[in-house]
Amino acid sequence: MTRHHVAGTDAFESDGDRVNVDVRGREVTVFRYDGDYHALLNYCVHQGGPLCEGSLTGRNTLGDDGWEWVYEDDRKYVNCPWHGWRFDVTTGVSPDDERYAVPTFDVAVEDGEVYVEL
Amino acid sequence: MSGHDDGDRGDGRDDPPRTADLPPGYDEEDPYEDAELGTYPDWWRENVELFREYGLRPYRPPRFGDGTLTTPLVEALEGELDVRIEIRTVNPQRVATCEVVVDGERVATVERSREPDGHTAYDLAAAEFEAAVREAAAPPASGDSDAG
Repeated sequence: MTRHHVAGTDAFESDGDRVNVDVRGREVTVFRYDGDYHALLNYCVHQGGPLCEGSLTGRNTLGDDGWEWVYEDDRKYVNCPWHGWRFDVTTGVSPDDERYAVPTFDVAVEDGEVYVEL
Repeated sequence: MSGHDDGDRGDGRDDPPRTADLPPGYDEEDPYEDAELGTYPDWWRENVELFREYGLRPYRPPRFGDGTLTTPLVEALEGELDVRIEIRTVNPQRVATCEVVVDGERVATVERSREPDGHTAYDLAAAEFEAAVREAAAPPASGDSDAG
């Protein structure tokens, strides 16, 4: 496994910020979410759209009372700009169908610099 | 609640090049149907295998505007010039322009797009890319010497 430089942490000012890099012919995008860094392949499982260039949202779940909906995990899901397929930026798994997932990669932060390992 | 809408770059790319009703991973062709993957460079073969593992459409490597493959040229220049070359986009949800960075210094910016067949195209000819990298890697022109 080789470490590849992505950017300085100053490129990720707030949650939702991200940096896309070409690493040996594959596009990898590092997201900042909840203060941590997560890397996904910038390639949608559906039709190969630039997944990681899409909007970030949370999701609606049914509340404990079984009646009201609760919006939670804001900015945890990236929505492909081509057809709206969405994936959890922390796991790569689709919240709509767990059969589908995009590859994820380990991220390391050292001396203010962000790296992906692959 | 619809959540944030920070993915609209306002670049007019509203219509995706592939229809939404296609099955996941569907492709009209398999570019590797008769190929011997062992003859491909490691980076290419590993990407083909990764894409297959996750059921993605077949891997197609990124290219410069003239069709030249990006990765071999980047690796050749890094080896020859002993530099680190990065092609990256900060907050690609907002901008379509990526930057070419050589040893930490931005030397060019370039538009990039995801093409209908799934490969990424950089709107820059390979010769222009190579020239920008070589210029950045070249030692500074010698000026007046302190040694007098």
